[in-house]
Amino acid sequence: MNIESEANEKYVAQPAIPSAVVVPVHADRSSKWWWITAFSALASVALFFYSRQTIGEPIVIEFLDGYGIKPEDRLKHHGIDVGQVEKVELSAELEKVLVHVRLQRNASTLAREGTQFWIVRPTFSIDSVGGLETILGAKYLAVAPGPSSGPKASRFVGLESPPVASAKDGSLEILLDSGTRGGLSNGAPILYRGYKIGNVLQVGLATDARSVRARCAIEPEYRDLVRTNTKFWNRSGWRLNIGLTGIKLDADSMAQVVSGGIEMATPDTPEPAVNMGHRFVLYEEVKPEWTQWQPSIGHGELWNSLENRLPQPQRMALRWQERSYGFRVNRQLTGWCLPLDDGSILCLKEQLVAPDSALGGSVSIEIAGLSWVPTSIQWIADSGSAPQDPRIIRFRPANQLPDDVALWSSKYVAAAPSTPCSVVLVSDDPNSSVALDSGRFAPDGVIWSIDSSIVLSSDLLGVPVIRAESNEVIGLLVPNSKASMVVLLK
Amino acid sequence: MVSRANLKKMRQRVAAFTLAALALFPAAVLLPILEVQRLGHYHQSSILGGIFDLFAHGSYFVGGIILLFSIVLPLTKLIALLELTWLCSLDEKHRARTYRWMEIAGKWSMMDVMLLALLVMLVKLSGLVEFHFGPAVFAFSLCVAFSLIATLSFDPHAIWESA
Repeated sequence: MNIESEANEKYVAQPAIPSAVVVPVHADRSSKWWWITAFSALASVALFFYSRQTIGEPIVIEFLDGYGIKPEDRLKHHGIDVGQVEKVELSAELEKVLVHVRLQRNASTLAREGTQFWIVRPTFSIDSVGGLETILGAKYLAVAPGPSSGPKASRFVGLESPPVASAKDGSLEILLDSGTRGGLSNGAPILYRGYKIGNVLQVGLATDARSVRARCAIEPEYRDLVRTNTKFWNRSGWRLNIGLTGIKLDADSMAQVVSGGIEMATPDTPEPAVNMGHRFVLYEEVKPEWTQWQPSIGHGELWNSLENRLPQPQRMALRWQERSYGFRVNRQLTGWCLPLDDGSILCLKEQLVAPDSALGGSVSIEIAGLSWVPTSIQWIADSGSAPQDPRIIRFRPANQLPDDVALWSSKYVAAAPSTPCSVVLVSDDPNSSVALDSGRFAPDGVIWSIDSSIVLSSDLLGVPVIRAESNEVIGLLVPNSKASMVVLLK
Repeated sequence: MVSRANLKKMRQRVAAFTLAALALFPAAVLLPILEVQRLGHYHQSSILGGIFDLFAHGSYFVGGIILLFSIVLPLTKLIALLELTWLCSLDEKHRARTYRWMEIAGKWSMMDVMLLALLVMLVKLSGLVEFHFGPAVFAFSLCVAFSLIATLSFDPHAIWESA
């Protein structure tokens, strides 16, 4: 190190010897144009990289018939290109057509198990016209993506026809068996009172070929209309009656004329709602009484908002003795009351107060297995409508109800709106609850009279009346064979 | 009289542009240059792919001509230029011959003509079909421009000056 530095000093110290050869200053310096080369090389690499980026995964789809599909035809999803046919070839056994498709890069998620492919071609059938764009233009492949959780796949078996329309989420799928097809076809409507509430997904023979089975979907908002005792019948599109008085042609909708239809009715006393896959018989003929059925069934949004929160009223009996023709006769009035979470109970006055003819000391009130005499009951409020003559009474029993009695929150007890609203009448079984539209009521001071065409069982005395929109108890029902009514809370 | 220094600079410049053109050449030839869409038909092709298509359809003559004039000869010209200015692996006699070959190859290399043809096609067909340039057009245009610059900058005097 020391030696070196000394040597350097020595060298520097010596006077520089001028060189005889003049070397051009710029000769050895690289040309300033080399950056062009570097740029070009980079650009070239970048372009190759970019093209690779836009190239997606290759997949192979097997078809039994190619229907003239050829290279450069497109694979479309919702009408948008997601890939391109690269090659069409026959399988080794000459049985199948193998269509090689290059997916676009952003569509690589289509390459999953469960994805369905089919060739779109013009279809003309009695109930649908489709694929018209493929008459003039190229045929194309269409795709229905499979579940997003499916594993990757690169080989698929194509469908020969577009997949069967799948039911909407939440739809009720049921099976209808009938002896003959009777003009039914895929997509035929299912009608309730002539209104479409669902459609036939697929018509086919049952597995044992003993009947024709139609797979149907009822739209989610109408699924509560289908009960275990619901009747379905085949309704051919039109009926022609030729009689002495003339000719009567009766047809519903055009779609029904073309593809047939299924009509359904639910009896006045609906049984529980059905589960997915319930099987019904599809009758050839309608029985006259079926068309007379008029059950009141809550459905759709009205029902969904209530489904989780329905009150559970309790049976209530008022027992007393009367003197009749010199004998003591036992009498009782049964109905429903609504236990509230503050320990009180809501019921009609007539359920709590025996008539004047009752013999003193003979009156008792029973709820949930407990029995009280009227004097032990504390009236909290005459929550009735008219101050002088309360119809609804809120009272506190002498002792607590058993723990297993469901209590209704007193927050959801409210005064009725000034104009009638849609309501639901609920007894202990949610399936037998009755929905009533606002148009069925005539307001009459503190009560709403119910349309006389609606007959409600006298067994429903005192059931809570729930306002559908707000889920609040707004009154109690007083059924009557002539005209029922709702007594309102105020 | 051209100085040695200037010749050396010229060589480097020509070599730089030639190499740039060569670097872009694969991209220009292999990547899709045209995307044509007509009534649902979609076609995407590169220059080399187009030539193969022509061969596949039996048009050997046209395909051969395009292959010769737009791929083989331009490539020959570029490689010859590179040899004369940068590699200098041949002796002087062969270099002179290489230069003559290059002159001939240059006359018949029609990349620039093809670029014009593409432009004409774009103008003519734009109303009839949906027509897009692919990524190769960028590489192709630059490749043409750089090889032109390289040819114009080349001074034959360099042949007789050793590197």
